[in-house]
Amino acid sequence: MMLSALLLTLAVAQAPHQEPAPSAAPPVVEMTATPAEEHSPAAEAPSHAAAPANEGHAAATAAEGHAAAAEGEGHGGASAVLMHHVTDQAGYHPLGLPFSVPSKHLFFLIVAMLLVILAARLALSSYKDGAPSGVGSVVETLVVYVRDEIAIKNIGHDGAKFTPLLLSFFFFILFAALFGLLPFSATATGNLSVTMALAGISFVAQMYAGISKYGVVGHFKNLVPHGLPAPILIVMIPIEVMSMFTKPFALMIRLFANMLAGHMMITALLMLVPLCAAISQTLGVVMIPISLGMALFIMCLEILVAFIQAYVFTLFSAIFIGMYAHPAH
Amino acid sequence: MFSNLTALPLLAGGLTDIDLMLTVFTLILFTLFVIVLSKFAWGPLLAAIDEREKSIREAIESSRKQNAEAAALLAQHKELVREIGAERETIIKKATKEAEDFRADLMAKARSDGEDIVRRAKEQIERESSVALAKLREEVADLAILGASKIVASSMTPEAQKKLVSEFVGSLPKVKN
Repeated sequence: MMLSALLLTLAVAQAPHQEPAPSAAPPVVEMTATPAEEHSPAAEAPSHAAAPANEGHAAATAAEGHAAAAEGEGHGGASAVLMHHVTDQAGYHPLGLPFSVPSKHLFFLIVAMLLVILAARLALSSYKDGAPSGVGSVVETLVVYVRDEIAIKNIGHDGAKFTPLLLSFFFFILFAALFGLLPFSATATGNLSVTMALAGISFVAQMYAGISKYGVVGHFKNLVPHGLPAPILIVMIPIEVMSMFTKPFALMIRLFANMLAGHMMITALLMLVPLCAAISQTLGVVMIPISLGMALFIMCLEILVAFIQAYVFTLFSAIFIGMYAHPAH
Repeated sequence: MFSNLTALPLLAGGLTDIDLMLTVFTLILFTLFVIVLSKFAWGPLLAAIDEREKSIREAIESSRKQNAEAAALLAQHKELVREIGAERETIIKKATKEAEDFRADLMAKARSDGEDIVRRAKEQIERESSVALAKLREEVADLAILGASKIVASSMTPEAQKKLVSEFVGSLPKVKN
């Protein structure tokens, strides 16, 4: 995986230098020249790659040459596609529909939330005589796991109060990540602005856990262990105050980076095809199964990562809440 | 406030851009999301799970209690059976003993009665025989007298009478004076 990423960057860096002639660029540039299809390089990239490979340089039309010129200096076409795939877009047209939404990630954030609500309601309606069936069984397993293994275990008897919040974190992150793997979609939690809000809510919950139990003064006194001599306090107070903020900060970065990395990897692996095709057509064709295989592998890994990250974010939130609710331990 | 981060070459390309509008939207939406879910999904779901867990716990508890009750009842029954067996044993023993005693009593009584009867019979026999003997003696005496008188009457002569009286008188002791 590391190797292929390295190859990609090398290819992007070297392609313009080695072949200054504009006719060499088109297969790469074509990726950026068709905005309507850019939302899912995962689905589109192979066909793009196959087309120039089969049709050869006949596909290098004047319009694409113009697009290459418009692309300007410094930004390779491949990295632009990559960035375009993982960053937010204003005025996004979901699924290529004629209307636009203010932001791509906001749209998929709402979609993920609606999916969670739908799944939860479906689960609830599957209960008959107190026992679930179908979707309900799956949701219940996760709900019971979050309640017993995450909330109650790390927060103690106060855990019940925080269970709905932790469940919301878990299911939202899970659904956002899984839904983001579908073609034409995006992962809202791969955006730092979104994870900042989630970490902020987690931070508020952590503060609430301490303040509601010990009062504002008691809570902040609890940050530092009791009975420390004054010289140590001078060091400890800034450390503890800092750690109060680094906890949610770590939550924010961890979720963002994990969600982003998977999508970047998949996109980068699929980009290998047009990049290699730019060097040689045969290499491009040879690259198709390799690229698809590796991308598929990462895709499967991403399903695992979706669960892990949902678990980790929820778990750390619960641990931090527990730390403020029971500062003695 | 994070815009200076994007100046770093490593983080360039807008990956780490913070869109505060999106953050605010997320905050509001996620808060609503949590509230809606808590009220309409997690709340009832957790309540249903709790309810079922409670009912299962209660069912186990009650079955355990019933088990214990049944075991206690069984022990009680066993004890009862044992007691009844013991009681039966004692009753039989007692009855046997009573019967034995009764038999012994009866035997003793029968023996003593028998002996009594025999004794009385013997006594009576003795008495009867003595009476009979006495009567016989009387009869014999009478007959003897009768016979004697007859003989006497037929053979008595005045001389013999005289001689007899004189003999008798002669046998009488001599009276002094």
